Amino acid sequence: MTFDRLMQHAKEINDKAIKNSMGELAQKKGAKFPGSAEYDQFKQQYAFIEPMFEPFSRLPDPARYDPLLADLNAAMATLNTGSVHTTQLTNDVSLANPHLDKMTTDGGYLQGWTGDAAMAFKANFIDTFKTVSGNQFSVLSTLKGILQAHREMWLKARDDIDKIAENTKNALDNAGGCGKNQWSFGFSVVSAVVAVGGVVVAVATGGIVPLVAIGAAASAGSAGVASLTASGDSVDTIINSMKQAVDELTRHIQEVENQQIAEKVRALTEAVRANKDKIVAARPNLAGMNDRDLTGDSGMGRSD
Amino acid sequence: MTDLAEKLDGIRVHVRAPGTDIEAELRDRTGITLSFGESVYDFIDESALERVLAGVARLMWAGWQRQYRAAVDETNLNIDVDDMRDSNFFADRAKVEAIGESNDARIVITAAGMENFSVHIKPGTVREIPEDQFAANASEAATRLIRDFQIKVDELKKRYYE
Repeated sequence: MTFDRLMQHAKEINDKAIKNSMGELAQKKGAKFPGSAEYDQFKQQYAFIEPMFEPFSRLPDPARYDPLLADLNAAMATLNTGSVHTTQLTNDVSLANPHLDKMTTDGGYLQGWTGDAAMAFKANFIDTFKTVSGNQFSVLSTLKGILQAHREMWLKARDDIDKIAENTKNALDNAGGCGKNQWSFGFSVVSAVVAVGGVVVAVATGGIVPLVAIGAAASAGSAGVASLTASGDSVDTIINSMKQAVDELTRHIQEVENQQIAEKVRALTEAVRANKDKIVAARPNLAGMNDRDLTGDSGMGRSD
Repeated sequence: MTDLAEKLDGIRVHVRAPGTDIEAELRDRTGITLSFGESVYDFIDESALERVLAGVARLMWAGWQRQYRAAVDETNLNIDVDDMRDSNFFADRAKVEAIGESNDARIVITAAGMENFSVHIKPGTVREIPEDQFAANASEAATRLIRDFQIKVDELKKRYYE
């Protein structure tokens, strides 16, 4: 990975393009040997190369996602009841949080509490506690998947632009030789994001609502990476194919970000909102109750 | 990190003619130097020298090809035959006749597709010019042969690949 030196590579491409163009002109039969006027003309012709690479040199640093992912992992560990079905998004979360077990083994402490509130507390909070915590855990896992997908997208985009620069340089260097000169530009960013199955919101009374989650592609070199292949020796051919590759990469990055990430995030947000009752425990009736009711049977009830 | 151009510029091919103390080296893509062992030049005749130099040229081309491929293998470039177009190109390249002649016209090297090298030395040359002059002339002819081949292949490549 030589992404950190992308702008240096862009400058080298520019220099090589000018040098090869001067060479091509010098070889042309009948043309006068190129001088400073021609040099200036080529310099102007290829002046677009460095500015074309410049925005790519500022692509977000994938490493900056790591602290956010660590935070999410920690939050997930806190909510981990150990009962949620494992997916690609949960398998690196640490062990279940044993404190959560206390909520479901508290029966003894509450035996003496009766009345509507006691019954509601049991039905709406204790009985559903594990499901609700598990659902919160699952929702957090989708957030983590989104961050991982986005990180992977930038990682692949950086790798792709780096290789475009490198392969262009090599093609220019190999031009004018006695053999074939063919190169390819790959767009691995296209396969950076994958759908993750098995992420669900559970219903306390039974049943599940699946969430359409996304994540980072499991490993490098995924099959079916789109690419562009070209061959030839002239600077025009090489530089044009590079330009085309950069345009395509830009389009691929936008497509991945919009269609494979942003749209999925919107759908997830809606699904979470629609299933809020399964993710957040019901608001107790006690909240906002007047003082008289609060101490009556419909409120806190009595302790025997 | 060295780029491909620097690697190719840096290729050195050193060969020694089988059975004779004559050595040659290729540097900087087209620069050739030829050197004779002690008193070898004094006792060799033109026809033997022609055979030896043709052999040296063959070894040198093979050595260049090997190192060139090794350098390109470190990149993502594809220089292999993949389809009909490539195989037609290489078939035509094998027919490209190149020629290199020394300034004094005493030494002429020809090759078809950089195979079947043949060297022609004007009779009497060994007697008439000293060793270092001969070496310089041979180097001139060899460099011209390479350039001639390159220019002709360049035309061919334009037909096939652009």
